[in-house]
Amino acid sequence: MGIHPEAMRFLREWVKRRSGILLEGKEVMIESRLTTLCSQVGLVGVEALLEALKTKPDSELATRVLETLTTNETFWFRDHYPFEVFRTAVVPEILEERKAVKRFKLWSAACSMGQEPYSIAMLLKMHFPQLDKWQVTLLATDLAKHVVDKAALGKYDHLEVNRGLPAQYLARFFQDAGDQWQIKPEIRNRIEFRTLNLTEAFVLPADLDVVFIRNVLIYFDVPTKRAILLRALGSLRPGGYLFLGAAESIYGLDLPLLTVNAGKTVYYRKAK
Amino acid sequence: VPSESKRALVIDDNPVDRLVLSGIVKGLGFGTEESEDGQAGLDRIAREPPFDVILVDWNMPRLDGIGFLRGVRASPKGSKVRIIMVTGETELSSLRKALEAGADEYLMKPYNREAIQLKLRMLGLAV
Repeated sequence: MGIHPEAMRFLREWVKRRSGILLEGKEVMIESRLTTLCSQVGLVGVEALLEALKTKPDSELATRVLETLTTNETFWFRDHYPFEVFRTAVVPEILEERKAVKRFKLWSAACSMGQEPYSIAMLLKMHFPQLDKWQVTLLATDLAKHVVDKAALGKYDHLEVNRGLPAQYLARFFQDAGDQWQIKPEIRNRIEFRTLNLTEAFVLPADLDVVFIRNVLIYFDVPTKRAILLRALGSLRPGGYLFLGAAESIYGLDLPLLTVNAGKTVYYRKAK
Repeated sequence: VPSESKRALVIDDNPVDRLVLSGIVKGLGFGTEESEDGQAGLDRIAREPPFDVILVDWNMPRLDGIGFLRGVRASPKGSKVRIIMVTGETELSSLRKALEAGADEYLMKPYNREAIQLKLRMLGLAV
């Protein structure tokens, strides 16, 4: 088997043009996911899929291919420490800074299947009950429609809940749904889910307090990375907080951000 | 096993499950002991140095996981140890029952090494 190198090049360029995402060195993932997609849609092989992409670039199948190749598996409370510092330092500071207006706005920029925004919403509910009296806006976006739909459904199987969801949270914020578990409406209704392509111009609520843009910038080249962060910073209030993925940094991007070292993790603040 | 290793106790009546779980925990740097049911686990805890973490099955003869949790939480040597229930019971009512009986964490079978590692990390026990 194996996808022909030329076909692989076509695919990588096609995905980059459509989404800005770079798939260098991801040949194994590409082949495995496309093989699965072929069997789902009844195509005999990846070659047939590529032929369909070339002849009908705007078909629903093309959308499926893009979504298949740009979706990440993810964790609850991914990397643990950013959420610790969010709970122990960032939220208490925001409660103080915003107590006059009682407004708290967050954006989860690459929400994938929903684990990140739900982790944030559950953490806020569990530890900051006073926020029930605040106007809290939590926007969650991702590139792929089927991913955002799955996130909004908030239903997870046993392998997914085993990936870092603390038992106390599962017990309190989920309900049984056959052989799966579904997030309760009290948490689901706190989040607004939308599709959004980070590489295209986008409009966000102004005056965001916190932006989570984690484990997605690694897929972009430096100019694209910088452009995305500049747009995000345009909506972040002065002094607002930015969280990146554990393997990501703002090094060399020349952005108006201050780095805060917080033990086992770092986060950033927009210059005032 | 280096003497400074953290100590884990794996309690399961199924020898294969016990071996697999024990192997994963050992691979994560723990020294492990094994017991074949809740009562044997309680006996071992009473006579051995304290464990850092206990991974216990639910359905076992003699004394099941819930009975074990209640017993260990009532004993002076077991009030602080971290306990993960590892079970095929997947209803949330079961999960809540285990938490009420004293489990710190809950992991549903089947699981993999990553899931175990994440649970240990949540309890401050693994990198």
